[in-house]
Amino acid sequence: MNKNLEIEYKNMIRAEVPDIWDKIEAKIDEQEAKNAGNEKNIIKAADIVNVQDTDVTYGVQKNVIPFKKRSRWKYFVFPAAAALLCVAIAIPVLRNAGGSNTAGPTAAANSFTGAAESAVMSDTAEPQEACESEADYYDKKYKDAGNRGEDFSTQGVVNSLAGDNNAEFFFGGSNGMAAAQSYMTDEAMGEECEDDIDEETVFYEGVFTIVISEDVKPEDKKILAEEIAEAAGLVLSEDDSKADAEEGQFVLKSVNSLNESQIAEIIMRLGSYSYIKDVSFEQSIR
Amino acid sequence: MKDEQFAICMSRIAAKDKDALREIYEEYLGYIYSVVFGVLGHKENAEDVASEVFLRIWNTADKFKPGGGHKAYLATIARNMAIDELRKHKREVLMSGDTDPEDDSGGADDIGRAAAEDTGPEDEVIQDIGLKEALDKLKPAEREVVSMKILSEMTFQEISNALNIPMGTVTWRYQAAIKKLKRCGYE
Repeated sequence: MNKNLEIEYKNMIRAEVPDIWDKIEAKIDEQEAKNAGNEKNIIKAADIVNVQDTDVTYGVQKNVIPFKKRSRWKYFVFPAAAALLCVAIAIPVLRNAGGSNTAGPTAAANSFTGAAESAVMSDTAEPQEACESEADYYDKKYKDAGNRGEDFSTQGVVNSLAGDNNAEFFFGGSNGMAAAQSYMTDEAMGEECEDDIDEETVFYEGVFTIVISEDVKPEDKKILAEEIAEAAGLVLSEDDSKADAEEGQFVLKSVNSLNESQIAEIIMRLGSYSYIKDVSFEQSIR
Repeated sequence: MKDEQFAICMSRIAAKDKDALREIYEEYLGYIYSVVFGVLGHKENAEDVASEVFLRIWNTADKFKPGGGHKAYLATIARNMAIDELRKHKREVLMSGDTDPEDDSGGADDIGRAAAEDTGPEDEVIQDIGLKEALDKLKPAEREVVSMKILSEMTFQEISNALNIPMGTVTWRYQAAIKKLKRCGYE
């Protein structure tokens, strides 16, 4: 009664085989759907390229990231607007700056040239030009010195032209570097000037005497004299015998020695003020 | 189904003809299922893997080269997929039996136990029982080897590789199982 194990075992298992066709079919369908979906996506992506070429509306496809056409106008409009804005801001500022240079004491000037022009306060052109040439020279050498001390009182009087020692150099001529150097507190600047000093230059010590016009009120004369002295880098000397405040005569001293050119420069400057009747320099020591 | 017919079916499947796959399914489902079940020894897993086998056939039909024997082709696919599944869930499959895995490790203890069983009182008593009952008398490890050998038509070396156990253990388990089945009238 021997039985064949192999045959019976196989038959037994095969008799128990479940129907799995539905399962297989479902898996196949699912897989085909996936494949079809991928193919569709590929077609849609290709369509999008065509759509963009023909400017037809797009973006309804699923699973595809539509790439938008970049709007180029943004790249031109914003810089153009910014440039216009800059111009709109710059033009009034430049106009104001130009106006102050030509109108005289209406606004502060940043450069030494502007300061010199403002300080002249007169119609005479000669000293103004002199100032400009000096200022140009100074601008090249020591630009920071000119950024200080220019403003005007409401009466149009110079309050200060050069408020510190460095600015005093302005009054020196091209031959006045030694005097200028003596005014300098900055060692580096002094060293820089040393090369320009002429050993044969003669320096003088003395006083400037100015006579202020009668048109100025007596109580204002002294104030005006002080302002002029300060603007010219001089010191008002009250105890001098020549000084007569009531007569409008004031003595201005220089704290340092001056050469001829500097003296002439200061005289020209002082004489350019319309409310100064007379200017003179008296040498005390040579 | 002859090789030529199978080759035609495969070419139709390659052209996405579902009816051709259905024909192979009708003809070879039992065979494929038994191969898979022989390796896995688990109905649900065998169903899943068998369906995956047909899906594999569907997808790779265009790569089929006729001439190598279509049954061997199907058996190879089914066996490899079943072994992959077995390796994935090897521990679960092994632990699905009630016996302690250490009892199935083979070796001298098993041989001694088998010798004791040979002399057991039931040796000549049980002669005519159904195959199911006879298989139930096998340990899970023994049944696994028998299934692989008979249903999946694997060599001992293939079984050894698939289960990652020594071939001597495989042959011993098979011999022990056959002895038990012989007592039940199966040869």
